[in-house]
Amino acid sequence: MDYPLSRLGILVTDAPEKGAERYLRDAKKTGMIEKDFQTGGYAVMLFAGGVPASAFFQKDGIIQSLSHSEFSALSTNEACKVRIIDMPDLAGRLVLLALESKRVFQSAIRDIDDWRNHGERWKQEGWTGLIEIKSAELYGMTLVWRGRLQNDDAIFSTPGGVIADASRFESFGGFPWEISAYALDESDPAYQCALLRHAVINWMSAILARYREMVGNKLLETMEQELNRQIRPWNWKIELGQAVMTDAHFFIFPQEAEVAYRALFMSTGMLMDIVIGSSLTQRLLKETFDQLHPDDINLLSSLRLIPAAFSE
Amino acid sequence: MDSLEKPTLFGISPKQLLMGGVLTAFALLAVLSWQYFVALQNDIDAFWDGQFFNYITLVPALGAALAGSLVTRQFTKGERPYRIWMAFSLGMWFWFVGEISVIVFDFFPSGIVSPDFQLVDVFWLLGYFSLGLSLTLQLFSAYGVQQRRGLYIYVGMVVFAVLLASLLTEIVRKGESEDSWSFLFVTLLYPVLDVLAGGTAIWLSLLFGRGRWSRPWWGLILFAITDAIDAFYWSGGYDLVSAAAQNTLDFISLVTYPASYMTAGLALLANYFILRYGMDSGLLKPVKKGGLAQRGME
Repeated sequence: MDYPLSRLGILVTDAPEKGAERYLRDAKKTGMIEKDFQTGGYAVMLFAGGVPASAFFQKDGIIQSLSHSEFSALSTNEACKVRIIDMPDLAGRLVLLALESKRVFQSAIRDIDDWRNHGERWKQEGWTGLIEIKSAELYGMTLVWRGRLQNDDAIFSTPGGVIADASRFESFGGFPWEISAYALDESDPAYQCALLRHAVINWMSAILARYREMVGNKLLETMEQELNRQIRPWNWKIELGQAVMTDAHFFIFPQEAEVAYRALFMSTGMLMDIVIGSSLTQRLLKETFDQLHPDDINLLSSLRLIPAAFSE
Repeated sequence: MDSLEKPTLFGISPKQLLMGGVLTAFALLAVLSWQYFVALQNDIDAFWDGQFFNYITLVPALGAALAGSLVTRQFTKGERPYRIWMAFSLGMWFWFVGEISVIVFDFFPSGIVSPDFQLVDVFWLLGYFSLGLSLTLQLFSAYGVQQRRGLYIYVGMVVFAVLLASLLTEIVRKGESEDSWSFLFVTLLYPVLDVLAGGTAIWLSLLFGRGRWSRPWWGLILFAITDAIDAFYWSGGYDLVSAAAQNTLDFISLVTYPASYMTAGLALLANYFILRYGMDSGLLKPVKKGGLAQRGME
C-alpha cells in the first residue's frame, strides 16, 4: 500500500503536537496521528471515534504493524514531524481494511473504458476486495463486494475535496490511474465488520422496501425518522431513509457493530409490530431474510441476528 | 419528524379526538339499546322505530366514509396502499348512499322501481365489490403477490360468488319457492358475499394480529355477524329458537350493525392520525429513550 493516506482527511492545525492522542480521544474523532521521520518512513496510528484502532510503520512500501505502546515510544525528536489528520469514518475504516489486506494485483488504467473493463471483469468473477486508485489529482479507495463497486464504501481525494461516493470519482478523470487490488483477509476484524455491515444493510434495506410496499411512504418515513432519532444519542453514523440503510460508522470490532445492529433490528421489529402486528412482522422479516445471499444468511444466523429474534 | 405536521385541531391531540370518537360511539349505541328496550316494552310505531335506527346509523356510516377518504388522501396514486384504501372508502361511500336510499324509500315507497331488486341493492352490492377488492388487495399485499395476479384472483372470487348464489337460487326454487328468481338470487348473494368478505377479513385480522393497520377490517367482521343473523332469520331459523333467543339475536344485530361502521370509522381515523402526524399522533408507542442500545446488549 502506498502512503498518501493523509490526502483522505483534513490536517488539524490547531492541535498541540505533544497532545495529539489526547486531542483525538477527547474530541472522539476518527483520524490518524502521523509521525514523519523525514527518511521516507512514516508511523501512523489510526483512531476510530477517539479510540485507537491500529498502528503501523511504513517505509518503502513495506508495512510493519505496531502496538499502541510501540507507536507512542517512537521518538519525536526535531527530525520527526507529527501531524494530526481528521478523517471521515468511511476513510478510517477503508484505510484499516487496506492495512490488513494483501496486494494481489497492480495495473495502469489508460482511460475510462479501461477502468470499466476491469469493473466488468470483477463483476463476472464476483470478486470481493479493495481497490486503491492513485493519480496526480486523485487518490482513494473503494470496496468491490461480490463483483460490484460499492458507492457507499468509497472515499476519494479530488481537486474538489474529499468525496465519499464511488459513482462520482470517475468524472474527475486525470488518467492514467494506477490501481492496486487488495485481497481481504477473512480473519481480520475489519473484514468481518465489512461482511457483517453488508449483510445487515442488505437485510434492513429489503425489510424497509417490503414494509413500504405494505404501508406506503408516510408510515415508512415515520418509522425511519423514529429509528434515526433513537440512533442519534449513540453517535452511530447509521441512517435510514427512503427504504435504504446507510452505515458510515467505523466499528473497530465486529462485536461492537453487532450490538448496534441488533438494537436497530429490535427497534425496527417493535415499531413494525405496532402497525402491522407481530405475525406479519415475523413473516416480513423471514421473507426478506430468506431472500438474502446464502453467505449473508449464514453470517447473520451465526450471530443470532435472525427474524425470530426481532418480533414478539 | 420535521416534515410531518403537528396536531393542532383546537389544541386537542389526535389521541383525545379518537377517545372522543369512541365515547360518542358508545353513547350512540347506548341510545340505540335504550330505544330498543323501550320499543320492546311500549310497542312504539315500527316505522318510526326503524327510522330512528336508520338516522343513528347514518352518522357512523358517514364518519367511516369520510375517514376512509382521509386515509386514502395520505397516499400517492402509485402506492399500493392507495388502491387498497381507495377501494375501501369507495365501498363505505356506496354503503352510506345505500343507507340514505333506505331512508328515502321508507318515506317514498312508490319510488321503488321493482319489488325484487331495489336501488338500495345496487349500492349494497357495489359496496361489497369495492370492499372485496380492498380486502383482496390487502391480503395479497401482505403475502407479496403481484397486484395483477391479485386482481385476477379477485375476479375469480366474484365469478365464484355469483355462480354459487345462482346454484343456491336454483336449489331453493326447486323447493317450490314463490319468490322470483332475481329476488332469491340477490337475497342469497348477500350471505355468500358475507361469508367471503367476513372470512377474508378474519384471515387478515389473524394475519395482522393486533397491528393497527388491519383494524378497519374488524368492522367487516361485525357486518358479517349482523348479516349472519339476518340470514338465519330469513332462512326460517327463528322458528327453531325461543322468543327470548330471538330478542337477543335481534338486539345483537341491532347493535353490531352501527358498531361495524363505528369500528371501521374509528380504526380508519386512528390510521389517518398515524399517517398524518407520525409518532406525534401519540398512537405509536415510541421506544423509550436509550432503550435501543440497551436492548441490543441484552
